[in-house]
Amino acid sequence: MNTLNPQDILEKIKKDDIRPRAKWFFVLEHAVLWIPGAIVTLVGGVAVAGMFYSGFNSGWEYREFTHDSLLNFFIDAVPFVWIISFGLFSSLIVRALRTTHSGYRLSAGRILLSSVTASILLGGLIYLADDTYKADSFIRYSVHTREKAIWDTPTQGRLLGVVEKIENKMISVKDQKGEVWSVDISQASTTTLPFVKIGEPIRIVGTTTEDDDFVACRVFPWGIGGVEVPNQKRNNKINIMPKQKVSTDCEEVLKTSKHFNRERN
Amino acid sequence: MAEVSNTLLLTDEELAALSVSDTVYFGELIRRYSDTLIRYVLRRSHATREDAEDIVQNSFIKMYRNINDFDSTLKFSSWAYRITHNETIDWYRKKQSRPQLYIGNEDENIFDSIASDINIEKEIINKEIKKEIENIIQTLDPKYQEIISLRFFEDKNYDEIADILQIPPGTVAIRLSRAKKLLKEKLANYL
Repeated sequence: MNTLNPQDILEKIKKDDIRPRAKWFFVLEHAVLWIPGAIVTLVGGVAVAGMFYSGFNSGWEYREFTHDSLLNFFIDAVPFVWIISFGLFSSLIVRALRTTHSGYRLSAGRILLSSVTASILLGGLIYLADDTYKADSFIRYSVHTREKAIWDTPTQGRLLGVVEKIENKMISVKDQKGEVWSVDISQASTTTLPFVKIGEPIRIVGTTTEDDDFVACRVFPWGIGGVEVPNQKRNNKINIMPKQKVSTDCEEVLKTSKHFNRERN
Repeated sequence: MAEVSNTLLLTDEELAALSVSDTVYFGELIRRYSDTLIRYVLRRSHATREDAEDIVQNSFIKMYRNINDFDSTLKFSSWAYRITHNETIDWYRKKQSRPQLYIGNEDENIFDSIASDINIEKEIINKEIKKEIENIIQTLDPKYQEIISLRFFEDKNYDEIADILQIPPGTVAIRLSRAKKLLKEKLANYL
């Protein structure tokens, strides 16, 4: 026996003029619920692009000049910031999708796997599509900050600065602090000298001298996809990367440096 | 206006779809589910019969208002239970109390089902043990109580429970398994 009279409820519905909400209202509501998920996936994609950027631009080419062991290089190169942010955003997507119409049916593992896959694909696309490094400049911030710190260490044999003057085999380089260094490039590898141009930022491997000058054994461009040369094409990087090992001459220059040896030891 | 006799042959889902254009179809849904849902509310609460009827009436009004949001891939009963479940939780919040499973006299045979599910022989389920089971269930966390309620008292399968509580079916299985384990551990002293 029905204790609740259907007619009573129908009359109340009629009396209070209760009507079903329109279908479009729910379509819109569900679309809005997907927005956080979409944002999280997008941010995840950017984080992955950051990981790609960080991974590919951690200075693999200069590893022998910047780190004394492969392990130290890996510890420095692993993009923890991006890995953590990716992890955070991936877990947020579980919450975001659980609020959707049938998102609750999906297990956290399945949502995360889908999100990670979508973010990796999206991140790969962002990384590949952004050939001139315009869109992801903020991603590169941490990579370049780290790079700048590594290369702003003249006493450890690394100097970063902009070429101000070229005179025979001596160049003047203004570093990040505004200090102007006289750099002897007579012993530098000839394959790296084409990067020495007035106004161009360069990174130099070498050693400081007693007179607080600098003797270079290698010169590399700084702006490999860097903020200083935003229009630098990524493809150029491949052509300008030093492939060969440090020459015997360069090793000799480094060995004679008491500063360099002291820091490395 | 639809003839009431025509509505009897229609499925719940068909009635839900037709309710948008004619409330008579919705009336049939109310007729089919009001008693079941009132019983569910009474089991999930210490509400009076009058309170339970109010909760269910409000639930039906919500169902009607949101009938266009009914996902036809779901069973209508799961959707109706979900709305009623949420309405019951809201009622609890207003009363500032916590939900508790209430086992009525009409639920006597449920104990056999619970006993069989936690591997206890039916023969040793006496009145005292039944009372103990009821007490133990009431001490369980509400999330376990609601799973037990839906699985044993409402006879819902894992997918239906997942749809009602809006949690993944895997979580339903884990919670039910934990609830049964807790029940068995606590009952061990009385067996």
